[in-house]
Amino acid sequence: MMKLTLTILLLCFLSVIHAADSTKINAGSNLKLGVGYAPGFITENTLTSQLHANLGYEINGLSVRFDTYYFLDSKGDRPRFTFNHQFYLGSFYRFGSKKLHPSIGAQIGLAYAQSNENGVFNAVTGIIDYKPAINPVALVSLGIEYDFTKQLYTFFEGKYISGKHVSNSYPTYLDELRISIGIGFNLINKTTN
Amino acid sequence: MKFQSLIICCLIWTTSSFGQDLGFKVGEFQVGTKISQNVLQPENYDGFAVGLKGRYFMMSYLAFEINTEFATLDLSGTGSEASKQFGISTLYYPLKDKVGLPYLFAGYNYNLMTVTPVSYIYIDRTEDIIIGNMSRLYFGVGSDFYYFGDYLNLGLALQYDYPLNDPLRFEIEESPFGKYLNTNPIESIIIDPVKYLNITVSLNYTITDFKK
Repeated sequence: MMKLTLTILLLCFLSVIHAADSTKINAGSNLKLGVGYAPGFITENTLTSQLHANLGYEINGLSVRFDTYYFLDSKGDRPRFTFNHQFYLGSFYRFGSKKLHPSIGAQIGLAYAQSNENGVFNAVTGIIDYKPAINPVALVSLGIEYDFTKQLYTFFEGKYISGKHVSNSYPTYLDELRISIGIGFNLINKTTN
Repeated sequence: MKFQSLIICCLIWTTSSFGQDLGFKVGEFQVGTKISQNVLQPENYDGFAVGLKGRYFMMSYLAFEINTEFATLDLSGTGSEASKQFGISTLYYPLKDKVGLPYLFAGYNYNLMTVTPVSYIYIDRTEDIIIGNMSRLYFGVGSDFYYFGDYLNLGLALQYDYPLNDPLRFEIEESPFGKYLNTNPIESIIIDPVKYLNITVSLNYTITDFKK
């Protein structure tokens, strides 16, 4: 139900974006690099932490962006993953013409993860093996950017990630509510207004 | 649930495409990301596919597309099915410049599939993994219905896959200890093949115009 609600909310933003005159908002092109820290919240009172980096190319507020999350650790009642690195590709729209820019985005990606809950005993080595696997994931994102200067900005994003880790053992949900806080750099900035 | 998603997507498509200046130029090349789900997949299957695609607009009414997809499905906790897919298709835009920019498409895809049954801590079922390939013809209807400016559009497509060869044979059986994935059922057992009616949402980005 939550996935459907979030999907409808994201698509409802289309009517807001459609009403905007995109030729005047954020006119110009940017090559943007962002780095930050991304804590996440998963079920059973468990927190995750990741390092986040993104690289995007933006024209008139619309960007294609590649994001990567490097898993650091998880703590709580059920940590469930030894690692859970994720890579995403998708589009973002940044609107607003002053220094504060709300943004909305959607990405698809791949999660390279290893569960630490369900393994298989290896008779040769005598230890329990946990097989890592790659699985598809998708996210929707809402965020805010604040421009300190033309070259430097800070961002705060909230994302909902959906997916399932399946390998040779019981499946584990990858669903997560994640926030990301960091700073960004406009490496090549060409504005037309 | 899946048919409800389909109906909601159709409603959003019909309301959000009005009032837009839609269209593409001959010679444009778009790349896109997409997410798909089979609305006819059995209730005990859970998963979706993500992929990339490239589309070239050859003529006013015709485009050519290549795409790749990766999907993993949870087979009701008894195992998983992973598929890597590569496809090519031709798109026909009969109503160019009309609301919703609808198109018809037909193509071929090649699918490499792996079915992995669940292993338990002291029961290793690695030897029960089966690998196979599947070829399918596919056809459907789609729409690049929402343009975010000149470079980015949101698309929706409905695709039916027609298999050209037999799929991998496996069966989820009920046992006194719960469900069990049998990857080597006897030949006489008739297994209903999975039907594929995929709904796909894509974000397409125009990266260049070869005619300029």
